Amino acid sequence: MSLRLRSALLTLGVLLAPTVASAQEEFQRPGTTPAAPEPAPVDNGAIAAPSPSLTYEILPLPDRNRIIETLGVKDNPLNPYAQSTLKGDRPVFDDWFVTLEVLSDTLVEPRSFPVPSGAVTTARPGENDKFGKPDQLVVNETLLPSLSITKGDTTFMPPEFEFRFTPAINYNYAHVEELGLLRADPSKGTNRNDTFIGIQEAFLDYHLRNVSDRFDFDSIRVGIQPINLDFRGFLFQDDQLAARLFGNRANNRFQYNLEFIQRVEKDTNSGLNDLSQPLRRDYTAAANLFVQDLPVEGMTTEFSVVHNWNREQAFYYDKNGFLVRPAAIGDERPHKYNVTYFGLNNDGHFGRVNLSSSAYYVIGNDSHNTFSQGKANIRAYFAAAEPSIDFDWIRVRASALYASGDHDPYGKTETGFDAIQENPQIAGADTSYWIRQAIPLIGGGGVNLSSRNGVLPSLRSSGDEGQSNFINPGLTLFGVGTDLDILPELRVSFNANHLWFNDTTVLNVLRQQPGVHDDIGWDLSSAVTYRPFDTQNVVLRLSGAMLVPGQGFKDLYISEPTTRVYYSVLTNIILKY
Amino acid sequence: MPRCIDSRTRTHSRATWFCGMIGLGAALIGPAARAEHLLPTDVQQIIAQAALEASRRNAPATIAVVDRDGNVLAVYRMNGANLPFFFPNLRVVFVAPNSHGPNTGLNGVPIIDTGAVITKAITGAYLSSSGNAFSTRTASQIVQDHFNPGQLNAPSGPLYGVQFSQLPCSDVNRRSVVVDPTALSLGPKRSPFGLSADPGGFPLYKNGQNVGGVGVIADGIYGDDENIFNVDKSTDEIIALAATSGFSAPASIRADRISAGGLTLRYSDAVTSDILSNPAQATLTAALSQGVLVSVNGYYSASQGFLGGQEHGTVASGLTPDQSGAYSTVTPPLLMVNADGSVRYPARAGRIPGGLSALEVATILREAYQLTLKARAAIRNPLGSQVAVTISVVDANGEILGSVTNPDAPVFGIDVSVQKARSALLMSGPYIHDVLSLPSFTSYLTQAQSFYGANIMNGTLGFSARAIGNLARDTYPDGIGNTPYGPFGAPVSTNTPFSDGLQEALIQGDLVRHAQFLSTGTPDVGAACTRGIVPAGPNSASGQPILADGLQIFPGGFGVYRGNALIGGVGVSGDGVDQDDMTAFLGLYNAGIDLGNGLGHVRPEARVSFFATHGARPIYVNCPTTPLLNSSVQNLCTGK
Repeated sequence: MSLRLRSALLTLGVLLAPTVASAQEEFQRPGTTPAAPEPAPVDNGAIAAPSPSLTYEILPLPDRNRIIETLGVKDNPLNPYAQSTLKGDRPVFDDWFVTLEVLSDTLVEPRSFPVPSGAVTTARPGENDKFGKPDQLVVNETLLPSLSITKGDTTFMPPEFEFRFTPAINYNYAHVEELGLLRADPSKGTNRNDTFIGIQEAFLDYHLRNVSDRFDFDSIRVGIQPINLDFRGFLFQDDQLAARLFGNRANNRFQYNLEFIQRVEKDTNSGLNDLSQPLRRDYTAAANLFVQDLPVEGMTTEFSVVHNWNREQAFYYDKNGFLVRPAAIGDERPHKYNVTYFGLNNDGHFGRVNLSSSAYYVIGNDSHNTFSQGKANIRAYFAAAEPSIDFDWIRVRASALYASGDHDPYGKTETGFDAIQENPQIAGADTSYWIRQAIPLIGGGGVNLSSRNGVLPSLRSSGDEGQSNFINPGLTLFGVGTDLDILPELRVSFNANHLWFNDTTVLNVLRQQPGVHDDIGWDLSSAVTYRPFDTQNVVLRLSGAMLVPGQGFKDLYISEPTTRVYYSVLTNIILKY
Repeated sequence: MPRCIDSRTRTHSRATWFCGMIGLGAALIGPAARAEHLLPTDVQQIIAQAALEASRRNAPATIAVVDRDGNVLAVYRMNGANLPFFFPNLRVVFVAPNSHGPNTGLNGVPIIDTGAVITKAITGAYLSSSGNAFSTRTASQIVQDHFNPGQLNAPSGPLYGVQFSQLPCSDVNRRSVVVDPTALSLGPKRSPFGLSADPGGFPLYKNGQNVGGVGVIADGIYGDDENIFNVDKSTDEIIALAATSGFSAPASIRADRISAGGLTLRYSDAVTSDILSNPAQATLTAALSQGVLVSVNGYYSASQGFLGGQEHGTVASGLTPDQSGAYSTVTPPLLMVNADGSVRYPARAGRIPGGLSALEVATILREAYQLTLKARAAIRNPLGSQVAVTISVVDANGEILGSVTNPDAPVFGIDVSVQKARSALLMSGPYIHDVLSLPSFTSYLTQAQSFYGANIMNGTLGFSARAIGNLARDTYPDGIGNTPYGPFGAPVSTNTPFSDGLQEALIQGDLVRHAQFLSTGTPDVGAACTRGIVPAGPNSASGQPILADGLQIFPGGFGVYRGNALIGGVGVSGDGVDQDDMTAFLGLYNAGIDLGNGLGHVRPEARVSFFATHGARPIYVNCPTTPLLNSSVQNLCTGK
């Protein structure tokens, strides 16, 4: 009996005789021998069992995907949460499914961070110093229509084939108070409107084979696809061009990925993939293995080896005219690098305590240390952990992160940790001020202290477009937070993180300023997430964060008036069909 | 801990006492270091080392050694050096032709090799100190139209225009004893062609102290480095590097350990492994068998032989510590002195009725100097050093009313501080309109008026040196492609460090005349740049042009006002340009607060920064990040 027929019959059985649902337990599982059932108690009044020789009356039934229609659950193409052929709930033909999605992501982001007043002109007369007005507003609207075509039963076994295409249509607006921030040409003013259409997904996924009766499988996926090399986006999370061989073994106890990624250039202002540019000469080969229930039940452990080699030795300017490769820092000579990350990541729980953790050690070499102006080795490490525990509707979290810093920019070894393309989900993620905002290292080169949606203070020109930089001050973060599920539709989160640099030597050098303190400060944030329909179809989020500068931040940036705090507010509306 | 290296002398007991006091920390850990200087045998060794490397390379070279104050100690030319086949009897090198357009200004002109190497040697000596070692390659990096050169949309180099300082016509820089017996060894000395951007000029050090510079030319081209991202194999530079063997700058203070705005400066593309010879085996005998000392008109007489350098900070060097205590009793500045030890520019009143009083001059100098003692240096190591600059105040006619120099400030800032003060004065005053109405300069006036209308340059707008610089670049706004060139600049196609618009045009005649003097002995220029172009100001005792050492177009100079009246100028140079800018700006501002008599800057609404054109406004002043040591105070200049 084919699996499909069996499952169809099972469904029928459940519908007709709910009381025999326990019969599911009697199905034979591959590789096991079920215990003999207890003999049924004898009931002499019962109707005799049908004779095995009796011919069945065959009842024609609709396929299982549509059987529910007999109960009045109709196809409703307008309601994204209802059964819909357009949403892949039912095949359009044979076992071909179509999934249409449209996602609208609206962001309004008032924010402030230290900005320069302008090197060659200023927005207003009388700007006599380096620091300008920090207030800014960003509005961003992205529309992501997505089409997925899938072949194969999608309930019990992996699809045999999937093609997915997701363009993104973006409009963005930025307003700042100073010239030369939005575009290199200061005469272009303090407002910027921009639009862009990028390709965020375009891949073919082909199911190569099943390797066990439990549908352990091998698949290959080629094209622009979501990449995430660990649980929390510490190393590489992005939508990127990749070829990925993946699958599982031993009843899904083991999952593996073998990937080759060549990065697509990003549009500067939208952050979307820009296929009109040549591909970046930045390559990543990754192999990882996820093991379930290691070391204890409920905990998944990932072992990974990731090699990233970068050959970007041509000067590259972003859309706004700023040099991003090589970064405008040090001797600014182009360089290439090879790095290998060895990672150990966990996600799961020890009893009641949830834990997600990550550790990386990176080794490699840099063809040209921009400070020492010679070859250098790379040796750096990273560790992060976020334990949490749930008390009914209250989750309490603690966060810790350590990224090694560089001790001696002029040395032969670069010891500051940097990722390939981070998008870290820790300590409040983009709710957090530090993670969300990119703070320019004013007067210390054309680099940011940390990148947008990044936690590492890696002094890159740009998180999206720049090269990795292993000469950076590193970071220590300790934080606590809580998620309060006040209503099923309403979650309120609070985060309080304290951040420190690990070694400010490189900041001292770049700013020609001795003794920059290591204390970055307190990052306090709160978020309200409201899902009025208990679904992901409408998600409203409002978050606010502020950075209360510590002495290190004050050493680098303006601290007067002494009450100055920097803020980041995200108003985010996600509508999804 | 204040630095007190160069104020120590062997012969001046009182200065030594000063040093002992201010160098208490140093005294506690050991005997005070002595001010170093080049001995004649050092000069011989340096020349011999260069000659040996040049001969190993089969690249006959011309070599000069100068001391820190610009005294030429030897000029040596190897047989066959710089002999172009088409000028068989002339020893010439050519200023590099314009790489991206027609030759204008000095591009492509032949100049005598000896003048080129003295300029290169002086550049190494003058841009450096015991806290920073800059070479001619460093100079090249910071005088081009982008910083870094070649980087799109990047503003010009921070010292854009400094190449036209220390000019042979300067009234500040002195002449060689060869042509002026009263000048003796007093510095700072003038330079034949300003400062050089041609790799092959290095500072020289003894025991960590800057004692001079060496310049080499063998390749026939006096140019600059327009691609700093590659690694050149410059013959001049390799020979010069060999010359510095035993006298090289400490690695910790070389330009490649100093960054400007996060960008590391270049020191040398040549490395010791490029040197083919063993400098330790160099001998004077060998050198003199391959070349001879040569006289240079106006700079050096071969009959003097190999000279020794002066100890910087002694009377003989032309700079000696202030004895009055008027500026600081803890770290007295150096003052320019005459041969008899008398102060050359003591703070004095101007000659114009209602002009600056001696007290006002002294107060501006003191306030600015006091600020340097607590301000964070931008181009000096170790990190945490104090700003080291020269501060000069000029009268409304351009005459110098006072000048003080931090111990160990690079020497180039002496002349440049005066240039900046005079430039702000001239551009803010009533005379610039007349200058730009002269037939050779009307294009600048036309361009300025096209930017700002007919009333520009009528003496009502306050120009700072920074604002003048904003308007004197090959793009406006500075650094942005496909924009018009600034009113005082040159178009991109003709703009080079040898031809940069009004600055060069104002002294082109002086330089050409001096070049002819160097080559053929025709009459030299007088000690008054721009004569015949820029008028003398009122009540000038000397009849000198207001701009007697040339225009300067990078930050650090302001007009001095009392109420609405322009009565002088103040200029600062020698550290990061923002440090220069702040020192001059706040020095004057604080002096006005001290005196309470209306002395200060032009009122804000009369500053040129109030007027935007082409989407940008010039900047009047821009003070640095984290301006003070041991303080996180920021935005020190806002609201002033």
